Amino acid sequence: MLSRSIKAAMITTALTVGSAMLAQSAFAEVVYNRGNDTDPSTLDHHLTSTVSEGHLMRDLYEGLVVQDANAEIVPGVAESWEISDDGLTYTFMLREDARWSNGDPVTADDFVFAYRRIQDPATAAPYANILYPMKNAEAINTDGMDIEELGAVAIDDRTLEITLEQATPYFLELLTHQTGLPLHQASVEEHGDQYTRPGNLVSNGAYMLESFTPNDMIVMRKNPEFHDADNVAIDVVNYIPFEDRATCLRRFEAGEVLSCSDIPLEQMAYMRENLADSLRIVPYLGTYYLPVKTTKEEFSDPRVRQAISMVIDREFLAEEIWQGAMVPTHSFVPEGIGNYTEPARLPYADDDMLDREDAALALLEEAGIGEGELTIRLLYNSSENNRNTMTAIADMLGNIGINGVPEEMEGATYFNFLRSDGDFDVARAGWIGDYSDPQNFLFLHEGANLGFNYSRWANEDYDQLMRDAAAETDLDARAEILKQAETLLLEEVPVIPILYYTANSLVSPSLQGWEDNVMNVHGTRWMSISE
Amino acid sequence: MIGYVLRRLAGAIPTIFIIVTIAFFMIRLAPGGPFDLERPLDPLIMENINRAYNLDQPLWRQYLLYLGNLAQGDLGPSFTRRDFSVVDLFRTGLPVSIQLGSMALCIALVFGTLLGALAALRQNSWIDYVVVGTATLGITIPTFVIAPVLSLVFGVMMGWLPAGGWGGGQLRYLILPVATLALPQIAIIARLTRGATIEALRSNHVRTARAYGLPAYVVVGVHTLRAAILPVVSYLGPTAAALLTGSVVVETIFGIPGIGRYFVQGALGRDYTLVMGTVVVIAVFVVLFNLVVDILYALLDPRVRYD
Amino acid sequence: MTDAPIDLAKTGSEKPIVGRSLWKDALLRLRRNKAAVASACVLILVALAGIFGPMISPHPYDRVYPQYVRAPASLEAYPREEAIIPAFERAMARTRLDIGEIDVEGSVVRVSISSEDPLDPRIVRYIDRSDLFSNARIEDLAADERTGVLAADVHRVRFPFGTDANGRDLLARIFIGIRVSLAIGVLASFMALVLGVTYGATAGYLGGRVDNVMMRIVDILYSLPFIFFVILLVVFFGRSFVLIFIAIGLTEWLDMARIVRGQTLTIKRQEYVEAAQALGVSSWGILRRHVIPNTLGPVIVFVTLLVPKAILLESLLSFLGLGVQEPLTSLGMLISDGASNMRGASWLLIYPAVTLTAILFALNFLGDGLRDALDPKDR
Repeated sequence: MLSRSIKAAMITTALTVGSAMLAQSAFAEVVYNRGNDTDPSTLDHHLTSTVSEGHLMRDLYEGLVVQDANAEIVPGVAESWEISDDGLTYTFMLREDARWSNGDPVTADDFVFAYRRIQDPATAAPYANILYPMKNAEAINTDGMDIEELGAVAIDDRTLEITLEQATPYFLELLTHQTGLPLHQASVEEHGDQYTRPGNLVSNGAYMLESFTPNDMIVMRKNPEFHDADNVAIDVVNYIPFEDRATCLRRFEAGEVLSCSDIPLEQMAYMRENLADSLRIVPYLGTYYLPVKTTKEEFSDPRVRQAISMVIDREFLAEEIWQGAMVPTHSFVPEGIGNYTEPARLPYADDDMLDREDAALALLEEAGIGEGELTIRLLYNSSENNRNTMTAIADMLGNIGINGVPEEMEGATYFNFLRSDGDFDVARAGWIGDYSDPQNFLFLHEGANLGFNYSRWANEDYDQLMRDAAAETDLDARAEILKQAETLLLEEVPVIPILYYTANSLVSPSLQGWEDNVMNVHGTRWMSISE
Repeated sequence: MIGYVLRRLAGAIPTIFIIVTIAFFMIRLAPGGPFDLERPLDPLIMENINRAYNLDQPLWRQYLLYLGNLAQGDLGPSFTRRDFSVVDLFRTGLPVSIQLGSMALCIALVFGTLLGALAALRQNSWIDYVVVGTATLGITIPTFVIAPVLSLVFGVMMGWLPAGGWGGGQLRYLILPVATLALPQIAIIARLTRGATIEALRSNHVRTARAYGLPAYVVVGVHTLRAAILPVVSYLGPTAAALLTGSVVVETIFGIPGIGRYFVQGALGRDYTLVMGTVVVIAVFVVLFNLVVDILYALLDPRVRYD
Repeated sequence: MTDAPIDLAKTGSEKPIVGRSLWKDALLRLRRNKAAVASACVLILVALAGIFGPMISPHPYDRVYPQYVRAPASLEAYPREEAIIPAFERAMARTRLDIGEIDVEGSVVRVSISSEDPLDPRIVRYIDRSDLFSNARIEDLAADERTGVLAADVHRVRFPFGTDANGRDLLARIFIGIRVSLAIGVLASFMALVLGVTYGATAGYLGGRVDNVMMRIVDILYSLPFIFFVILLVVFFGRSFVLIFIAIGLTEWLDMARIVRGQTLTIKRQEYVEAAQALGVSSWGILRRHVIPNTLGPVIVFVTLLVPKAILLESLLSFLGLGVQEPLTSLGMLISDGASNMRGASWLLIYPAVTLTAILFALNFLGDGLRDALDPKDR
């Protein structure tokens, strides 16, 4: 009885496998099962904000400019563009053969429609501020100005003119973000908030939406109307969400997915040994740092903050706790960022840990804090790696007689707590750049930026430097001012940078065209699958 | 009996109403909101969003709005999966969870009672020890260990079955998750059956039946098992409700699109409507299965009457 | 640190009328059951390990050994012979001195050192800081203080169960984990037992409308998912040990109440109960003397399932990141960490899992033994 049912199960399995193989050879479609971090919160790109949503949007839509496999900016819907001498006016010439997936031509009006919609307060777009450099964008979004006033105008079907508030050297970078993508006006207006449904969604990118099953997969099929469709090698992409990284690793090893967007760090040693040709660990535009609550009396003294920073052995954290999946840093702005020189560094970056401990002890003494007198709560949001990091930091603080106590907090509460000036001593935070420019990292610590300035550090000089940088149009001079700001930041260390993020992925050797890059962008249209 | 069932069903409505009320206010008391992400939003943008979802209204009005919609079968939009309404999510997820859970339940029931009865009839023999030992092991190991081990062994190393995924519900995708769900239940049911069977074997009516010289299988089959199954039935009510409404661990580790993950995803993401929806669905299942248990109890044990 | 059923036996023994002979008898019979006695011994041992292990362990459970992160389990002492010289070289490199041949003799390492400037005696700290060496000292210091011999003892440590991802001794962590898990399991089960038996027996015995209302309340509480409670409790009151066992106890008594009620419905139709009713014994008296003792068989079987269930529920909380606060840990938390490390560092899963299995096996056999011993019908 038992063996019979097992046999039956095996026969069924064999049949299913057989028929699946038959089906595959009959159509001979190239299918790419692609692991993604999570499901998107929506496919309406005006309401998205995460990296995993960015991957989907990059495949569904094509902006004026796009990032190629190496994250270089190349023409997208715009075949060329002109920038006025004062840097305020961008004129984009749209390609003639740009088509929506229903065959309609992509016009300058589709972009104007999209840019107006994202700034419309009724849309409630979380990332509307990315496009605030456009003229009047901020006023429309927050002050009730009429959306017609937006600095984006269709001169004709194929010419789009965008005016800016002030010269923004990274404006083209911004346009590669998912907030810069067009929308098909007719279908959005027809279906309202149902326009993202499979069957309703009209896209202009290399792929179009076929189905979306939550927690299962998003299926995209090659868009035959796409102007470069001849060079798109993969016919179907299945985006599979993996909340559990280990699950992705197993399915990767079983050959069920060709790439994972993240990896289980606990199994780093195993992957290095067995999957060395698939493991990609690439520097990334992101910083893992520790805000210190500067409004508290014991942390208002920069010497105390500096002492804490000094005794943190970043190499140990990166190599042992994060298993090499993080890069130790003594700077806040990531290396390799655009429009910048080498980031500023903490002066003791190359010193030996023991010397640093001596220096830290001296600083504490100057600040009037003796051994064992200071207890610091180290707050973090639930995750095994955060927990291990804070445990290790508590141990390091013990070396200079500071008593570190790790304290865990559940995720949804955590950021709200940081933002609303919650009562913490030292916390952990991370920032992933939206675009490749130091401003996107340094603006976090501006005194008025209450949303991000968790340490509540207020420094008039710093704010002035940031204002000066915003007004400066010469890129080199601007970089110099920003570097002064970062240097000031590191002198005061209201936030202690400890690690740079890396983008960690598993990529099958048979998947061609996945090029490592600092923005971690990998459009499926550039890829192919070899046998 | 029919009158009793109808009364119970009518009584379920206030039950669900109370649950909805408690849940609604409890989750609203929790700090944090659905749009508190690691990347905080501009306060003005946040205001726009709150307005769009009526979150700016006073709590009592939101509550009345929710009740009004609920009465019409509308569980509201999901905050964290904004392309879907909560009803959409259950429409695709619930069948998956039910398919998985009912298979696991049937397997657990069949194997659990058989093994438990077998162990009881051969009490203190090696069969007994093996069953009790394995059952204990089955209860001991958490599903978050069993699931990755099964996936690793049969999916990655042997390559016999998919390591994860749903595959539209094909049988081979179901085997490992169902096994993971069923194993601890087999163990628990086997232990319950064994205990109750031993008890029943010693009871007077079974002794009497034996004394009358009734054949062993009649004694065991009719007199013993019926009594022995009572604690199992008691246990099954909540268990069935839990299994059919999905398992967080199994669905996360195997990547299955059921509804088991929605509660945790919703609660951690403060997706109020999704959490509420899950609470309503679970409540309906629990109420139904409790009713089923009570009816079964009455059918199996003539001493229990519902007046 | 024993388990709930023993407590029950204790309370019972204080009851003079029916109790004495029944419980005494039960204890005698329990002693004859070898598996149960062995299980009790195992439990006592484990409990002792949980209570005294952290005190006698050579490594504190929160001591970090940065040099020994994820060291595999081994009976041999660390550092390995072949690892001493390279480690010493690394430590010496930080002193920026010219060094000669490194010589290992027994448990002492020596090296001749020289420098252009007078030797700073503080350099020994570079050596002492390493987990591998201790008591570094400068011997044979020349008159000009520029050459000498630096000696240090090799600090040998044993990690029979290996170390975790932070470099903490797993054995010490298992000791503290046993303490936390057992405490949570026993306290939560005890809470569930008291609440569930009283509630279930009352509901089942009184029956009718009261039963209906009482079970409706159970239904309502049941339908509120467990995690919901816990997340909110953790959010409001912060994570604490007490909170976790209360949360688990509050969830688990519902099962107990249902089972006891089911049993009671059956028992209350028995002749002896009817007889007691006819004799005018009060409801509470009947409950205490007839109903509750007769439900004990299934209840004890259930408690033996409940303690593990409580421990496992706690581990689910740990899996979701809502467990006890570092540096405390629980067996569930250790297993949860071990499960994610199982391919690179299998010892992190194996030892906590074996410990938990041993505890649960022992609880089960003890429970079975108790059930057999307590069975009133077989006297």
